[in-house]
Amino acid sequence: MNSQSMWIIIIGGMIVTYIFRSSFIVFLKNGNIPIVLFKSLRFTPAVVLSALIMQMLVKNGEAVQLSINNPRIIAGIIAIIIAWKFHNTGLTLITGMCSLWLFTFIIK
Amino acid sequence: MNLRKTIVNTSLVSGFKDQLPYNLGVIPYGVVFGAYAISIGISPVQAISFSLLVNAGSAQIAALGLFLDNINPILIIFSIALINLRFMLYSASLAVKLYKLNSYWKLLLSYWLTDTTFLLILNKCQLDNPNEHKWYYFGVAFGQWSAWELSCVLGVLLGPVIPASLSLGFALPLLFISLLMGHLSSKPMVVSAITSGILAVVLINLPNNFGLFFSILIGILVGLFIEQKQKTNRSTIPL
Repeated sequence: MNSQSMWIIIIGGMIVTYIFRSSFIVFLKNGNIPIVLFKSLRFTPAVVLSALIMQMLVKNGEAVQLSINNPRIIAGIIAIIIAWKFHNTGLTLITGMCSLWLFTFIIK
Repeated sequence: MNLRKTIVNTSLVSGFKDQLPYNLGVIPYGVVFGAYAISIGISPVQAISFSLLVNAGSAQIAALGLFLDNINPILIIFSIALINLRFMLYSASLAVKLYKLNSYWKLLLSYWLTDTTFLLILNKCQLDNPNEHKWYYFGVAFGQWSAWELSCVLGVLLGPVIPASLSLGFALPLLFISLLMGHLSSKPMVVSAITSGILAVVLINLPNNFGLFFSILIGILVGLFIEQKQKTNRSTIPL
């Protein structure tokens, strides 16, 4: 893809993001939103993150590799356990990266 | 005049101080973004403009991943929108505290609204004093924003130096994992996240990554359903 489509993504991304951010702060006087929308919005971060994480873990390069031979899956599982136990970003990052390097080396 | 100055100073400084520990999370993230952008062939100017104009880490890195997969730009913008939808929720929650400010302040503070900024402001600004709020917000947001922008520049500079075999792009799912844990605060949240995670894998081969869209939608519906069910169960327990 070319640099022109990257500019489209940057400008489009800027517009949608700014609309969301300013939506209620700028345009609503009392901050009341419909309750169903409010409830759905609360689920979006967890749901979006989870879907993105899973897709990133099973993809090894371009191809989908759903097996124990994919080091990303093993490293990802280890990172999930560490993140869940310790709630520490730095620790999750270090353990995850080291596991990936280790298992890439072993599986090769 | 002096009193006003004191309020400005103390709120600004305490906001900046409160956000400092969170810089530790922002800086590696920014470096990864900058380096990743360069590694997939995006120009330094575009990488830095992306950070300045969009100012939202997860969406930016996800967009790069989709760009690499040759996904249609419109769908990538749509994905950015989905990831950043949560800002609408934040905006709604903060609107109550900020509605007395003038439009210039509102426009500036909107640009600076991020996960960390939102959480810190919500936590601290209990008093009904818009003047203190805005300077505290300024301190937090300016600290977070400058750390993000500077670390992106650092990543852009370091990008060509970091070898591909280190697979630093893997830092992205790791940061997402860490971020996700903070959101799993209730049973409906956990179930909705597991549902969308499984569906995202099952549907991964759908064209244009529509699998991502469906798994997100179904995940939200499952979460809403379970929350509703929990409520009805609770209300039928005799007191």
